[in-house]
Amino acid sequence: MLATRENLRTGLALSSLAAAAQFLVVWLLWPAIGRPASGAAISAFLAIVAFLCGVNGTLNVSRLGRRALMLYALGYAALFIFFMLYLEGHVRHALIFPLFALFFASMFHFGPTLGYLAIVLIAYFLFPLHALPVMLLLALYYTLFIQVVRAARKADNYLLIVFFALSLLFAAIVFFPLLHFVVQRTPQDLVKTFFDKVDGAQVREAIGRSLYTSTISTAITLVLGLPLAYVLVRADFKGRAILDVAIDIPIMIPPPIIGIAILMLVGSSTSIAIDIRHFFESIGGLFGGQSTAIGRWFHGVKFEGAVPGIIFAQVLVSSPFLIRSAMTAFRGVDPRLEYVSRTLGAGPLGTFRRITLPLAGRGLFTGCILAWGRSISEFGSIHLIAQNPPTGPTLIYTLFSSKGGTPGPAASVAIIMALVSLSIFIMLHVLGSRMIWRRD
Amino acid sequence: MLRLENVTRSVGDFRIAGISFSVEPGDYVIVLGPTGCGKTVLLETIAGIGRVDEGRIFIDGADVTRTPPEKRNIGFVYQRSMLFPHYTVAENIRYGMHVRKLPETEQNKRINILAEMLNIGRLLERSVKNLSGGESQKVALARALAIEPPILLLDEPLAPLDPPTREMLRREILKMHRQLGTTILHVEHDQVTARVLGQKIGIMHNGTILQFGKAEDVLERPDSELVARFVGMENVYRGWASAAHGGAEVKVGGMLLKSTTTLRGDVGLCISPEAIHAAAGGDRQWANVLDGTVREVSDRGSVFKVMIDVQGQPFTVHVSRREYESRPLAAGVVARFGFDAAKVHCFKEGG
Repeated sequence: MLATRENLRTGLALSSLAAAAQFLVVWLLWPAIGRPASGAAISAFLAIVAFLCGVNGTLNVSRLGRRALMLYALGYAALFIFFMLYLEGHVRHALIFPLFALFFASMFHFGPTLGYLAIVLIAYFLFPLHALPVMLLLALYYTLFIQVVRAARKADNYLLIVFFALSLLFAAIVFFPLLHFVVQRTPQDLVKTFFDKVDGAQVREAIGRSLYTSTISTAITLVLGLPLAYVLVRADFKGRAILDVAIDIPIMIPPPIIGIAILMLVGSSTSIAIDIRHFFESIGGLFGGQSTAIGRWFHGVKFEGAVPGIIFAQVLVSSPFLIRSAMTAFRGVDPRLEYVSRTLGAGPLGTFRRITLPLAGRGLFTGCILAWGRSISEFGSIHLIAQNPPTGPTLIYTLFSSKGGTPGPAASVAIIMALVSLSIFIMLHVLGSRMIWRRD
Repeated sequence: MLRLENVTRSVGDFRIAGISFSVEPGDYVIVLGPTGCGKTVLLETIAGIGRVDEGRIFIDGADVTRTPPEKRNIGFVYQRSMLFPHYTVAENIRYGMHVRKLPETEQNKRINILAEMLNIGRLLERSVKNLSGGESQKVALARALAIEPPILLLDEPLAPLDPPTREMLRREILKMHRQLGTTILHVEHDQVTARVLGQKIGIMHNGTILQFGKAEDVLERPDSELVARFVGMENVYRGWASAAHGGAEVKVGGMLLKSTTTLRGDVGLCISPEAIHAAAGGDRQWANVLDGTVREVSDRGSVFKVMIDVQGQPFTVHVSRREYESRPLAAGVVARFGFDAAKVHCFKEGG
């Protein structure tokens, strides 16, 4: 249906008619049914908007066919009803309405984008108190939904669409509290908390401590856990099943129990802690004792109330995540690739380095991210082992309890902490999929 | 070159047992056996992937039974090429030479020679992920050959390929074998490939080698019923052999077949379906002539497979297409078939 001269004439006539009708409704009918009057000027302005929308429909939308034109008109009517009737027809809405009507007119060609318009409307007018998080969540969900619909059409499996629609609930439960939470403070608040002359230092230090202890504990878990994972996947031996189950034990034990267990082993007054301290001091002695920097570094090593204790707890709680991921990764490498490498002259270690590690790389990296995330989020055991020096979570708890159990200043630190770890988490994932293994 | 003495190994609940044979330099040996008979385990054992429980393996006279695979210098190609997916084609071929720290120029020289020989020059810089089945196998061959192994082990390299590609790769392997003179031990379940490539053939069944010898010996003169059936002798019977003028006579059911065997008494015998001819023309005198009722005819491409019934004894005959078209056989007709005494091969019963 092209915009022929005749169609154009009909379209313009209809648009004028609709605009005139709308003018009458807004100007005359409104006060009659007890709505606030809009005045002639505003009514005329709205009529012009209606006319323009009609012209747009005639010129552009008519190409998509009669049905599209009908939907277009219905969409305009829905917007009109939503703003002018549902929202009480205040002058404020009478001015926002043209904005949305013109958005609608221009976005109508790109069907899926209309969803975003709807999301903005729903978020701002139905959930005015939570507009931002609701809008973010819905937009995210809607973006994915379009993709899922496309994929489901391709696979000709409409169950996928139904299941994904159900997952809205899941998305709401998991992500809404966090999204809602991170927009509770303005960016200015966060910057002030972080760079404050008096209290900012302890925030920066605590978050920094969280970051570096998690990194160290991930490195330790990697070095200790990776060989175990490889053995469990490649070697078939009696007792393998027991080890396989034992790996997951730290997941099931409540963190405070882990904290107590670590304290009873290497707490300040235990004999093992004293032995360890002596051991490190004698190593320090080899480097010149307290007179050199390295020697001092080995002096007075302790776990309770110290970084080594924090790392100890993090390694313990994060190891299952890394080992499990590593096992899955190694299982994905066909042992015959290793055999071929051996027949080509590479020894077991060379084969592991050249073939197994690169092929398991992506899975191992994911395991590291998981372990790192588990380490940085650990609170329960660290709270018992070392409230000082504080990590991010322990500082947040201290601030929280010092204000009698209200979020107060803790919330700002908590949001910063959440944003920092989230952005690192996302960055690592992007890095992992984009750069390191771009060949596959 | 390669010698196995009583090699025995269990893998899970699978077992290869008492395997002994030897391979001479330049041989092309095929180990023919059905799927699941232990062929791959045998090859892996020779390559050093997994230790033997018993027995010994010698390469060039040296005992390598306890030598790890990286020290054996054996080329190995798996059924599903097992290319390293994180490397390009050229890097795959280079791998063995790189591990051995050969000079770069030598590495490049060998890659070029192999690429030209196997016709994969244009693939060298590609990722191995989007190669076709035939290309992957050729790259795997090149990778194994790059370390110039005196012996190459092939694990059904043609099995995953479609027929035209299989034919092409078969020719490439044959060409490669002639050019390089590499000793090859190739396990296979397809007897066509075994016939085309094998100079020596071993028949493997349930983890043991039943018969090992020159290709024509094994294919024409199987020494047991299992081997006879596996090399495509569809007419396998039991009989009683006795001396007759100018050779022997074997009694099978109600028939007396002339044979050249020297065995006497209870024997097994087999007749290749190709050796039996439709004998109506009478232009040639056959030592054995049978009148059989045709039961079933099926078109197998170059031959027609004709199932006949002679005094209650079923026979399978392959009639060439030309022969068949000049004189078609239909189910139910009685026709005359003939074959030579030399084609009635006897072996010891119960072997």
